[in-house]
Formats: sequence, C-alpha cells, structure tokens
Amino acid sequence: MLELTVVPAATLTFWTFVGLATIACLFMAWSLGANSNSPPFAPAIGANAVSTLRAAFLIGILAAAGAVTQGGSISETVGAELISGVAITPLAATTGLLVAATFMSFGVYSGYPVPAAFATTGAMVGVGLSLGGEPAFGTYRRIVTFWLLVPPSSGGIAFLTAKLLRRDDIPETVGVPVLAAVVAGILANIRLGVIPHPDRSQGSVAELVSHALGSPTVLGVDLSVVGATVVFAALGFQFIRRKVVASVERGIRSFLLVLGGIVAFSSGGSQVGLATGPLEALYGTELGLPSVVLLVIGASGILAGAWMGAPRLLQATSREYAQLGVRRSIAALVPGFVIAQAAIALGIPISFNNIIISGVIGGGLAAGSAGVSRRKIGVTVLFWVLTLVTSIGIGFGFYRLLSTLLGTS
Amino acid sequence: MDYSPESRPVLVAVANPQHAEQLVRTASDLARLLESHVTIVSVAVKPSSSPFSVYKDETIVERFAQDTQELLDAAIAVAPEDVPIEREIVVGRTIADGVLKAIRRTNARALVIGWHDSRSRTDAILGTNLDQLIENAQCDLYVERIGYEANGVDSILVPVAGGPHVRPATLVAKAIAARNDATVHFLSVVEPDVDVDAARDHLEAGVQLLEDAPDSPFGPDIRVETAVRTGEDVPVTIAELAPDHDVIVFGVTRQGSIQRRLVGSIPQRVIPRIDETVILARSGAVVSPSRLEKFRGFWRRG
Repeated sequence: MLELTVVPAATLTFWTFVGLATIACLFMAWSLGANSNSPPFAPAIGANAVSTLRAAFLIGILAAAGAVTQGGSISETVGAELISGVAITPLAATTGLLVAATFMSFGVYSGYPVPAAFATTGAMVGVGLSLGGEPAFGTYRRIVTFWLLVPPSSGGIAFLTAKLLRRDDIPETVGVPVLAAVVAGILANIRLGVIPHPDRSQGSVAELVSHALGSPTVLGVDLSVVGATVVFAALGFQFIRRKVVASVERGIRSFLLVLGGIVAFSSGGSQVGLATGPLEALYGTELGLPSVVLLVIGASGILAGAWMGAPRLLQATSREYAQLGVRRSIAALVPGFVIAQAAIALGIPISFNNIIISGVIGGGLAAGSAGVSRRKIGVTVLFWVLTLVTSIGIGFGFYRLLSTLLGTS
Repeated sequence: MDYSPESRPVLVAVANPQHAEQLVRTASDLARLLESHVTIVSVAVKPSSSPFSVYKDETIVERFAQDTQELLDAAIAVAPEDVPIEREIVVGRTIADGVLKAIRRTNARALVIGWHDSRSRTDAILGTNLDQLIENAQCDLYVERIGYEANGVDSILVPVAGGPHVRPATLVAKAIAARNDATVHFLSVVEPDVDVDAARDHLEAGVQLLEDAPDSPFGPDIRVETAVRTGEDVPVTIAELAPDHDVIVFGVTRQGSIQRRLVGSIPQRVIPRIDETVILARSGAVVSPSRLEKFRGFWRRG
C-alpha cells in the first residue's frame, strides 16, 4: 500500500513559528550588533588607534565571542525567570520578539532612544502574563534595583576614573596602569562558557586555578582566587605600564584599544540574551537543542549587525570621543565593562547605551561643567519608562489577539 | 539692499565645501529677488543612539562641531558680496532633522539644497534625507543637482503643466535670469490627442506668475518666451529640447505621499537623460506640519 506522508496542521504551524521566531531573533540580534555594541571602539577610532572598518570587524568578532561564551545567564533570565507557572510557548516567543523588534524599529525610524533591554523585558512580561503566568516579583525587584543603580554607579565610576586620570599629582605612568590592573583583576573573575565549573555552566579563570589547587580557603576566602586575581592585575599593570613609560600617548591608546575590545566582548555577552531569551523554551524544551545553538544564532546576528551597521555609527560618534579626549573616553568605557560584567554575573538584562550615557555624563562632570541638557536627560528617561510600560501592555494585548485569531492557547 | 534681521531668510544647507559655491549662488539669487538674506546652515548630526545626544545643543555646537565650523567658513568664503550672509549650526538626529529645525527656527522663506544623482539608487529617489525634506520642509524648496553647473546662463527652461509648484519654479527662474540677463522659456508638452488649450492656459499662468514675482534690483525686464510642443512621450520631448538651454527648472509633480512619486514621474524620467543644470522646485504651501513632526519638535527642543 502506498504510504502518504501527511504533515499535520499543528506541526506545520509549529515549524512556521520556529521559523518566524528565529527570523525575529536574528533581526533583534542584528540591530543590537549595529547599535548597542558599537560604542566601545569609537574612542579608539577617535584617538586614531584603529580604523573604522577594522574596528567594526573587531567589534563583530569580539561581541559574537562574548555572546557565545557569556550570553547564557541573561538569556535564561529573559526566557524563563520573568514569569512563573507557565513555559513560554512558540507563539508567545514569536509574539514577544515581534513586539520587542517593532519597538526597536520604531526607535531607528523615529530617532527616539528605545532601549532594547526595556523593550524585550517588557514584551516578555506582557506575553507571559497574557499566557496566564504569574508575575515573578522577586526577579522584577532584582532587575529594577539593578537598573536604578546603573546611572549612579556608571556615572560614579566614570567620575572617579576621570578624576584619577586628571590629577596632576598622579603621573600617567601610574594612573593608567592602575586602571589596567583593576580591569585585568575583574577579567580573571568573569565567567566564560568555555571554562568548566563543577556547579555552573560557566567558570572563571580564577575559579579554574582555585579548583586545580584544591580550593584552599582561609576565613571563607578562597586564597587561590585572590591569588589569581592579583596575578592578573599585576600582569595588566605591567603590560600597560611598560607601554605608557615608553610613550604616554601610545600607551594610553593601547589601553583604549584593549579596553574597547573587552567592552565589546562584554556588550555581546550582555546583549545577546535580549534576542535569544524569548526562544529559550522553544529551542531548549520543544526542540531539545543545547543552549549554545541558540547563542550561536544570536551571535551570528550580532556579528552581521556589527559588520554591516556599525561603521556608520562609529564614524558619527568617534569624532565626539576625539573631542572628549582619551582620558574621559577611558572614563566612559571602564564602567561599561564593570557594569556589563556585573549584569552578566547576576543574569540581569541591561541596556548598554544606558550605561555609556551615564558614563559620559559622569566623566563630563569630573571636568567641571558637564554641558548636559536636563531636558534631554528627562526625555530620555521618560522614553525608557514609556518603552517598559507600553511594551508590557502591547505584549499582553498582542498575544491575546494572536492566540484568539489562531485558536491556540 | 534692504535687509532687516527679522526678514525671512533663504536657507542653504551645505554638507560639502566643494558644492557650496553652486548652492550659495542660487540661494543668493533668490535672496536678491526677495530682498532678503541668505543663512548658510550646517547640521551637526547626533544620532539618538549616540551617548553624546544628552549634551545641550550649545555644548555640542561649541565642543563637538569643529568640522562643521570649518565647513561654514569655507561656504561663506565663496558667497557673493552683495547679499547679506548669516551662518547657523544646528544639531539634529539626521541631516533632514537638523535642516527642518533650522527652517522652523528662522521661519525660512525658502531652502536650497543640493543632491548628487547616483544613477544606481533604487531604495529612495533622491536619498532619504532629501525625501524627508521634500515631504516635510514647510517653505519653498529648491533641490539643485550638484556638479552639472551652467557655465554662463543665457536660457532657462521651465516645463509647466499647472499645479502649485509652478510658482516657486517661476520665482527661481526669474532670480537666475535677472542675474545673468537670460531668457526664461516656458514650455508645455502635450500628447498628440490632447487639447492644446489647457497647455496654453498653463503657459499663461506661468507668465503671469513671473510678472507677479518681485522685480530684480538689476532691472524689471525679463525676456520671456513660451512654446507648446506635441510629443508622444512627454519626458523624451523635454529631454530633446533641454540641450538648447542652460538651466532646467522643474516643479515637482507630487502625487500623494507615496515615496516613489515624491519627485514626480516626469522630472524623474527627464533628469537622467540630460546634462544641464537641474533645479527641482517644490512649493511650501503643500506641506502641513504632520503630527509626528510636531511631536519630534518637542523632543528636539532644549
């Protein structure tokens, strides 16, 4: 008897959603790569340490690497921890991503500052509530606290960094290497997907050393972690100090370049989850794929976005950083790295531009008059809040509409 | 020349010092006729995704607009001496954004802007910035093709087919003719089976508008000629006649808000076929402030 392969309607619908959701995810990742991941190298371009096209190339590679090795934690939060009681269905994932992507497109089209983190978080909460899930208030509290802390901490770190670099009694041959030491010390402790850890999916270099040495602890402090951090810091200090001693200007430019690379890497790690998070349940539970598959899809989108979209934005902003001067540029980037890494460690979705804006303001204040428009800051904050609130509402309504129209629940 | 700072200026937007002379000259011709002054505008572009967008506009102009200042210096250096010139730097999210802001701030009477015709363009007729200006600039708008500069002007061709844009087209034709002592040729092309009377009406209306326009300080007399031509294909006929003239001024034939039709099908098909100086004229009367524009104005202030 002739056997016919019949594709059941439900399966067809399912695969349609997988396709749609993946396209929406790629679009989201693309716009993140083109916009959010671009600023890190702008100061280096402004200081003539690297060309625009080479910077865009590096941003793409580094941000994609960061996305794959560090993206898991935020992706998980966005995909599974914003709503309790229900799993995100394929339709819900597609709806959430479409809403977030539409917000981003609106931002690009209209010229308003629409932050990706707020749009995605809001859309996923709205969709999840519409699915019948319970709000996860604990997660919201953590996220909102972090968001509220971003401007003062980013601005504060930038302020202190700029002050340190501007002080006449601290020579450049000390100030810049000290910053490099701090950055390197943190680097020893950032968690990467490629480093194994007995309890978590991601481990840090310091933890790896500690594990190898059998985790000796004194008074609850892991000595080998401290040791590894100090060694990293010392190496960072020495590396940049040698360059600064040879030539202050070239040394600072090298630091700016290294810092830009690290920030680009961190921004990839902190941004990819905004594109891939909504698909966590779809890829992990429904398709049974390891989470790295999803991160690679997100990373490809970020890579493409950075290569295609970043040069334009880099050219526009690098001149401003050049006018700002290398010291304040460094001051704006250091908090970007620190806060992005803290967010990744805590699994909190963040808007990268938000951090950099605060950093630029903080660095400006250190120079005396910031020349910052209160009105523009007010409108920017208003847009952040509006994005969050309306994306919840639209996510909720749009999912209800689609699920009614398609007869699914 | 009479000039009060309150008078509504003719704006000219410059983005490249190499093109400044051509555009500033056209703007000066208009200002002379309108007894106004020229304001050279340059835009410091600040995308919303740039962290520097939180600075005050004055701070951006003062600290972060060095190249723009140099550009304006270069543009002013090539301006004619008998027309008062002012300069202005505006901060905008895009070039179009900044220029629209300058139009509002100065209550401009007209805007002159240049465009490069890259013939491979497919996504937008003249480029997104120009399309936005054609759609939203609330003053008469003149778009001049860059690089095809007339070397002495004896004859200006103004194809007419009625509509609101004949007035600004006639005005700029008169302004250029006055400076160069040139002749303005109104042309109406009709398809073979169409009534010629309507064409004659269009020509008469054009001549009337030219007479109504302010007189030039160089003297009131402008030589005018009119002609009706019959042709199967209107753009081809205009393109065939174009080489007899030095400057071609089109009124845009805007139909609806569909982007492809912003410039109008006739200019769009004629321009690639000819090498003369081309100016597209669009009347400010057809533009009303859109809601989105008003809303954007709110964001840009401050």
